[in-house]
Amino acid sequence: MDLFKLAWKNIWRNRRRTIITLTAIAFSIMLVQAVHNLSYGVYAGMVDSGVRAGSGHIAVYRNNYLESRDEILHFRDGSLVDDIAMIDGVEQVLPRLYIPALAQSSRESRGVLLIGVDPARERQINPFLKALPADGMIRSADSRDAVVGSRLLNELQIRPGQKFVVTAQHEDGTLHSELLRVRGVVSSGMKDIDSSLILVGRGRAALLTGNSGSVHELAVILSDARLEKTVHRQIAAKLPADQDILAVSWEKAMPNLANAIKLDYASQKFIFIIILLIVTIGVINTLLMSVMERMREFGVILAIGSKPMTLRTLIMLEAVIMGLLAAAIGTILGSLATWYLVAVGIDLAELVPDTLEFGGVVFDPVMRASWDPAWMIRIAVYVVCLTLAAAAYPAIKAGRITPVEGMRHH
Amino acid sequence: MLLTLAFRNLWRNRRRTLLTLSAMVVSAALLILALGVFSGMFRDMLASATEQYYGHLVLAHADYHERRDLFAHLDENIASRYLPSDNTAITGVSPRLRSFGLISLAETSQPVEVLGIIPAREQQVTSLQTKLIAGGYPADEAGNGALIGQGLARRLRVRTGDEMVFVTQAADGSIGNDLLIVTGIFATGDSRNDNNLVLAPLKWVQQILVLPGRIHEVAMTLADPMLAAPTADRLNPHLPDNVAILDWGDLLPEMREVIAAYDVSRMIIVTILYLATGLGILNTFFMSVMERTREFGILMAQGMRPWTIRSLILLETCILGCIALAIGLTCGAAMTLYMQQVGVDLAEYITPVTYAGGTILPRLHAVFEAGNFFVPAGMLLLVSLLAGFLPANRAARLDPVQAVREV
Repeated sequence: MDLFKLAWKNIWRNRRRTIITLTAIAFSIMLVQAVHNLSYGVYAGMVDSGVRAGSGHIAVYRNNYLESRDEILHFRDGSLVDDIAMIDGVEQVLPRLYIPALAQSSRESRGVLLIGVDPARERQINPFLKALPADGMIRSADSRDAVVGSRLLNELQIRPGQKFVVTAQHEDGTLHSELLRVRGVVSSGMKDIDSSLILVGRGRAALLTGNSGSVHELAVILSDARLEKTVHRQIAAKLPADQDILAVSWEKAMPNLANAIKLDYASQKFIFIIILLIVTIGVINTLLMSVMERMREFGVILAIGSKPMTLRTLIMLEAVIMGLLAAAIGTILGSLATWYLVAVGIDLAELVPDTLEFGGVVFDPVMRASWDPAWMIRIAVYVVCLTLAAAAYPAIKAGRITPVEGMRHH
Repeated sequence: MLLTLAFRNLWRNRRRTLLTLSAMVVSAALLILALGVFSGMFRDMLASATEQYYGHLVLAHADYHERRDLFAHLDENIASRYLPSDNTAITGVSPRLRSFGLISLAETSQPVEVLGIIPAREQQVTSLQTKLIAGGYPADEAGNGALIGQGLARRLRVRTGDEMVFVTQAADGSIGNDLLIVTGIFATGDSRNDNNLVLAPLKWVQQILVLPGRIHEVAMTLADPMLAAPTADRLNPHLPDNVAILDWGDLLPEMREVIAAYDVSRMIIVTILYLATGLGILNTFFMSVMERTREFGILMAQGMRPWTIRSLILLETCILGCIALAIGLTCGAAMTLYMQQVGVDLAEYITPVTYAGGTILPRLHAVFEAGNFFVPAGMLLLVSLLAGFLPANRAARLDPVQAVREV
């Protein structure tokens, strides 16, 4: 306890140096925590819009459909949609049929991905469909109404209200065609989607391929992304065991987005490591300096009977106190910064175009942070450990002095 | 004189100087490496779009890229007719005719884009021949061979030698359909190319679309892709009114946006990192000034001007900054070079990421780009000067009498 008191007093002997060092460490912690929370929030936003426009937080497929995208791999959904919708935390279940098809107007033809959906359910979730006016949405699952990507519409050279034909391969091997009418236009800002998307009611879509009552995908949207693991288990339990149907998390169903985020976060981590490295070098510098200037003092302490081990412990204690203080101050500052970034955010609207794409979703120019307390604590603990590691060399150095040498030191 | 003094001062506390120096070197060198790797990702992304599909320049009807109108066709000899023949900057010229349709085999069918090409010419423009996993380009320029992507081959379950049926709408309004034989399979990692693209002989596509002697576009490559825009500007006056050459920036506006956004995020990263480094340098210099309070007092008592003391300290930080810069740039360049030559393969951890019209390959691979060196270098100098400024001010404001008394 005395040693602790001594360490505390030693730290404040050179107040300015301690304050500068503390500021440097605390500030770095704040930066790392705030930047992490910011990207945590931005990624969460991207995942949210990604799953809503894509295949849900959890998607249900026939085994192997994800890899092969083979149309044969559909399954009868029966009461599954309602069963899954009953699970706590499930916001919506979207049944879908994916049919590669040829869309033809009187002038042009394009390869498209025709998606057969449940119009009412889909409209509640999909951000692009939500934006459509009331008369722009598919009226019923069996109607000839279609919602078409804006670029595709332009390429086919047709306008809303006009007719076009889609052709796809029927289960029996022959080509079937259906006449559709453009009801609404989706403009997502992503070229790939805007140039290949056609949404129709699932009943109409099933006529093309002859598999009515079947789906390729059930996209499950959760009310809270954090419930994914528990809901995943419950869905898996409800799936009929004999039909080879699997529930898959969005990371597997949408590897593009998951990997884009992974890649982006990995590069950010590298920057964090550089920052922490610089902090460590700074701490070594400060501690070494404070040891060097106290050589004489250490000599005296040793001469009156202290063990070298006590000296080492003293210096380690000083480092730990500094580390803990810096971690506490840094986390408080980091929380303040996060609080600001959650409440206000950073508006990049002037710097980035509003159609900027990231990993297959449109980048929201207003970046907002989200709290990740576990990670904030982890960074604080890392910093304390780093200060401890940084103290090793100065402590060893102090432990090695002999009383005579130390006292001679000026 | 002042310079010698500054040098000696720096070396008086060698350990501290070296530690501070190492912090600066680490920040500069690792940052340069990181930026080089980020640039490498975007270079891969751009290459996937240009070298595997578009080429650097594309000649077509002025609004062809907006609609890809089947009827916006050109004469197949348009390039040799209008473009000056002494163009050494252009290393490849490939005429193409594009058709969209459905390709099927037995029970599965896929929407595809069929690009009619002359194999020998296309190989000068795109590098798909280096991405082959089976077979090769169709050998017969008038035959019905096809080079297809890996994803498409997997979905249709075809191998080289298999027959597929292609169905599309021809220019005369009829439904064209004909057999294609797989001669080769490529794998680029870009999901759109791998799943949708089919390359077939130009003559075959002209025949199925009933567009003999016509093409939609001429794709060209340049020795230096960065010269695409000026080359397009230079060539455009030679062309008829409704025909234009677009560079890759015009063809891929979304990728241009991504690259512009990267420049913004690069500035943010550099700023954050140097805030941390700056605090470290500030720390050291404050300490070194405080230690020497007595010394500065004596110097002032002997008649040294405050501004001389200020410039002495600024000179010290400057020297440290320059040394750090020299070592940091060298180390950064060396590591970038290493990552350029060797690189790290990430294929085990992630799959290729496709967005904004390009693909980021699962590898860490650095490229040299001037901005990646200038930005960190400039910031490092700026930060060391700023970090020296506060302590210098403090030293210059010392009162000689009080300073001399300090122990």
